[in-house]
Amino acid sequence: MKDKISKSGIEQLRKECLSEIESVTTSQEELEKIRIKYFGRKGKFKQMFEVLKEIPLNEKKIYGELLNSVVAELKLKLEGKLKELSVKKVKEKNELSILELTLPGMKFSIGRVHPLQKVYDEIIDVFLRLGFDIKYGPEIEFEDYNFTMLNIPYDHPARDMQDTLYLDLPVTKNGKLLLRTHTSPVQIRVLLSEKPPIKSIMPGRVYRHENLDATHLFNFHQVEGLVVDKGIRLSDLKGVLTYFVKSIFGQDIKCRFRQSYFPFTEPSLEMDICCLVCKGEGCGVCKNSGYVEVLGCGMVHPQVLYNVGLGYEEYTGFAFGLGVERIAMLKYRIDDIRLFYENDIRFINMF
Amino acid sequence: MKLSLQWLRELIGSVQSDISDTDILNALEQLGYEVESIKSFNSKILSNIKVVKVLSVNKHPNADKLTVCKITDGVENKEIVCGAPNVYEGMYAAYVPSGAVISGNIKVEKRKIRGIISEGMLCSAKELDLYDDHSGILELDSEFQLGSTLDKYFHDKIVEVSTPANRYDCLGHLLIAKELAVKFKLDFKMETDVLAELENKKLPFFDVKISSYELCKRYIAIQINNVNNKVKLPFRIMFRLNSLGLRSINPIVDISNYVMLEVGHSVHIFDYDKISNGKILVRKAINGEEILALDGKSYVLNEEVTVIADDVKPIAIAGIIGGENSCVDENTTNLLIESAVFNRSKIRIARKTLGINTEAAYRFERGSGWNLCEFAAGRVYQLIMKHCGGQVTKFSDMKDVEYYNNLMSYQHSGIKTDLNFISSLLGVEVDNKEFIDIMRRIGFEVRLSYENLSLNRQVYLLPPVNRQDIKFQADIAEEYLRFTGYESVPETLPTSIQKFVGRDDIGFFVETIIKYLVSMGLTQVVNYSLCSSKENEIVVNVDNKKVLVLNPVSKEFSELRLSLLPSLLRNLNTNYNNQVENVALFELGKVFYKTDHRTTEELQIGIIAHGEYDYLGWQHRKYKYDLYFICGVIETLFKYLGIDFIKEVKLNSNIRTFINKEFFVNTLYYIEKRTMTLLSFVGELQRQKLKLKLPQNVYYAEIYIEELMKFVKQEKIYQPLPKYPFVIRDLCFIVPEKMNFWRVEKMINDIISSEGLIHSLGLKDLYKRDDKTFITITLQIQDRNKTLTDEETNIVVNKIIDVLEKNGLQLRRE
Repeated sequence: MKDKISKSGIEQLRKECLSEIESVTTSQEELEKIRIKYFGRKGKFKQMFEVLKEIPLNEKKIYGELLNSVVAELKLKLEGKLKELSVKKVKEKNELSILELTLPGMKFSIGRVHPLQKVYDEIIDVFLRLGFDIKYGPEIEFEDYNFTMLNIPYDHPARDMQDTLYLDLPVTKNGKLLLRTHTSPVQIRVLLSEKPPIKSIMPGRVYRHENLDATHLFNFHQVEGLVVDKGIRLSDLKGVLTYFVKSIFGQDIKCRFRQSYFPFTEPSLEMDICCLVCKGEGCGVCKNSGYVEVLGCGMVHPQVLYNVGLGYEEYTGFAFGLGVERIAMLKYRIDDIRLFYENDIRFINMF
Repeated sequence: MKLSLQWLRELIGSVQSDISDTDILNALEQLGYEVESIKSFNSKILSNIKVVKVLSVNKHPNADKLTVCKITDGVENKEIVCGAPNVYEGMYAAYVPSGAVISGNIKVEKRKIRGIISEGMLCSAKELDLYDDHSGILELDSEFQLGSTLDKYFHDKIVEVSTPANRYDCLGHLLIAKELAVKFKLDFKMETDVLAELENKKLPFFDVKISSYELCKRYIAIQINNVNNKVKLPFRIMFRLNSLGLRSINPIVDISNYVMLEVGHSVHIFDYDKISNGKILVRKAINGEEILALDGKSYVLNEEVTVIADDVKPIAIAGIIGGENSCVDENTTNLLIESAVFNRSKIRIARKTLGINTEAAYRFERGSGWNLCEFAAGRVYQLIMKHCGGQVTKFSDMKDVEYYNNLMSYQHSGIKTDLNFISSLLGVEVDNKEFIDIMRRIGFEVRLSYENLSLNRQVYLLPPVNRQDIKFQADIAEEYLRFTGYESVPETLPTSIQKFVGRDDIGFFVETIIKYLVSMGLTQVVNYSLCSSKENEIVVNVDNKKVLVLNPVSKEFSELRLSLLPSLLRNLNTNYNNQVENVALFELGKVFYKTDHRTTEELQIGIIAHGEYDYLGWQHRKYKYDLYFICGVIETLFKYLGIDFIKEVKLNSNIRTFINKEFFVNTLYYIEKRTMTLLSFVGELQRQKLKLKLPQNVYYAEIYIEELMKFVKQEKIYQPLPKYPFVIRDLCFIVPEKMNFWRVEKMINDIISSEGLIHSLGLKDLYKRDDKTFITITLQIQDRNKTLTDEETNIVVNKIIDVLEKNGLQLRRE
């Protein structure tokens, strides 16, 4: 009989049971099986108690107490585990499947800034950093300011460079009213109202008598620049515009200056940048030259300074004018200027 | 203007030299002749085309319009069938052997044509991609070696350049070549005194009268008799004319055109026998006078136009186009060469009023060089004598002597040039020797003030007579740079100007608003400022407000827009047509209107919304755009900017709005409280009245931001945060339909404020039952100094109920 029950036997059964309870991680059913295995009607501990009936009283007492304490301990463990599992089950209810986890998040409809606005803001930002202030002028402009004061006389073919939209309004003492063909008349307005030093940019919308096609619009945007003071040099113009172009198109962009003609600057230049499409190899976009034009510029023409009452040689200056659409087209490789004004949301969303 | 690189190279005198095409192209760009296109001849085609001579031409037995020709390449003879009208015995032509490929990738094969085998063909200039002429086969001449392939002869490039509008002296190959020569540091000589030979002959004067020197400063007339206008000009001349875009007419006319391309000055030639009494008068046209021009069109003239006339009739429109009645034709034997300096301004006006564009007008309206006029006359005379023969019989050179003297004295006064100034203007140190060398090469006469230039760097520069565009030191600086290149100028910054600037007010304001609107889910658009008259009708009392364009591009864009609405509607349609239905847009743009005698340009913001605001995607929580969306956008903005506003459904008549309310169902105005300034208009569009094809309701708002900007609260001051808890009370009222909810809010606000309490008010619910409207208002009331008791709260709430009930609302008591 003795070999049927022993301290070590009870201890072993305890360990066995304990490890089985520990090993259960998820299923309550498994736990139930363990309960039946050890504490059920034919359970291992039930059998122990059966044996107890057959041994001497003094031993019965010792083993009885031991068994009771072990069973109590194990039942406590079992209950604890059961609780743990049921808590776990509640947690699992909130857990998302992989599918659910990977569904799209809330879709916020934020709008977009128009690409022209974006480029415009970038341009303005560069010149603000360089210490330029901003001046505005009207889009309905006097003929004198748009042309004559800028050294473009009435009979000069230079007027043909910019076909003009005239307005059905009474003629003023400053000539006919028209839609300004460039932002340059704001130069005149600034020069008439302020004394040098002048260091301003003058952004705005301009108009030309052009039929709409992939490269022409009858209205577009320009940013004019004007610097007038004592001792302003052509090298300053080169420095400012090179900084500008590098800020917009990247530090590595190659650029060059080329002779040109504008009635209100002398010398007059055009600035080209290395073609972004072919990287200077030559392609259809740059007409195989490897360069594309970005802006026109030059030293303020002596006649313009005289026209506003400033002495040339005492004062010198430079001016430039750049097309916002043109810069945007170069930057984003857009091949049709009309896209900016079609306002197809799919287009605007690209930027 | 088109240029032949080969011709330029020939004029520079460097046919064999190592100046490449690329060198010339780069130099042209640097000199200010912007290259617009480059055309090379197709050597792939030309390398298979042979020079042949036509030995005999016989009629094709089976076809009227075809001939059977024997040709030779010097070694073997071939028989071909030819359909060209200009083939003749002894002609040098371009032969396409069978198997060779011509333009359009057409392979020529030996084949039977109407029963006779043709071993290849003779081809036209067009078939060789040389120039656009398919009227007959290409005629070569004896300078081509029989049997050689054509690629040896055609390696020219035709370059289209734009010339500066102030340079009338560079509208031909000769003077551009001169500039290139200076650039390449080559010697360049131009013939002078071309007319000396004529002057020495002491010929009788041709009878020329100029009615006013204002019209014409110089008129050279040369009469030549007994010319042969049936000769063939050398291939070289014909090819240059053709490849530079001019059609061959007859030898005399071709010579004058050739000289125009060479010298840049346009010379006109009359048939002497068609001039009545052999007299020329330069005069203003008589109003209503008519002339049939060489372009086949009849022009009614007016006093703005200058004409060349004989005793009885105008025979040419000066500087623009010749008359049919005096033109040189193939039977012309006696002729009159005219080379003149016309008033460029008058030529320009005449060209514009008559609407004629010719090569001559293009040049004359830019101006004409005093000596180029003479040079061109001499060249035409030389070439006619050389190729067409004849005897010169009369000669005259009428000129405005006073003008000429002025011109010379202007030239001789010179431009005082300070090399120190030029250096400081350019930001680069100008080298004395190089400067003087370049100026002399360009043709300036340089007079030194002092022998030693390094002590006093002042010189007097006398520009060439045909460079009247040079007046200031700035012009001299430009000339210097054109020839030295812009790379020599360093990059600096204008450091002398010390100005500290920030963003301008309007710019900053606009930037803030754009950012706000974008964050609200609206997308920015940019539209044209011009619209159609129909689009402007969206606005009331249109006619006296509109600003019209006198010369619109099209009817569609003939007026400045009065409102942003029409183009925003167009944007909705564009997107709807692209299957994008749910759209909310805004535009920041100017509108234009007349008030009395002034025009106003006003910056506005337009907002438009259509469809749904899809803010939760797949969870199907969508919000249909409605009036409250737009109102929310505006109210949130106004609150953010600190604007005190009133909402009204009707306007006092003294407040301005242009919007035509007939096109709207529901309209609302936002008004600044203190000044009663209109800040914004909101409305729902009448879809039927506007004939909209959009499936959903359209909501629109405009914000008058120039007004708005005036009321923005600039200063924000800190208020201590409340320390005590708030109480919440919900109140439900039955509200009359005519009640302006904004007034309800105002009454409540006023009461709570007067109690010295702070609060926030929200509309919790609105529902209708029977014909009653119930609203539930929720109030959060708070005291800055203590915790509010129930009793204290009730006192305030009862006051509110009391006032509201007196104003027609009724508390709903359960």
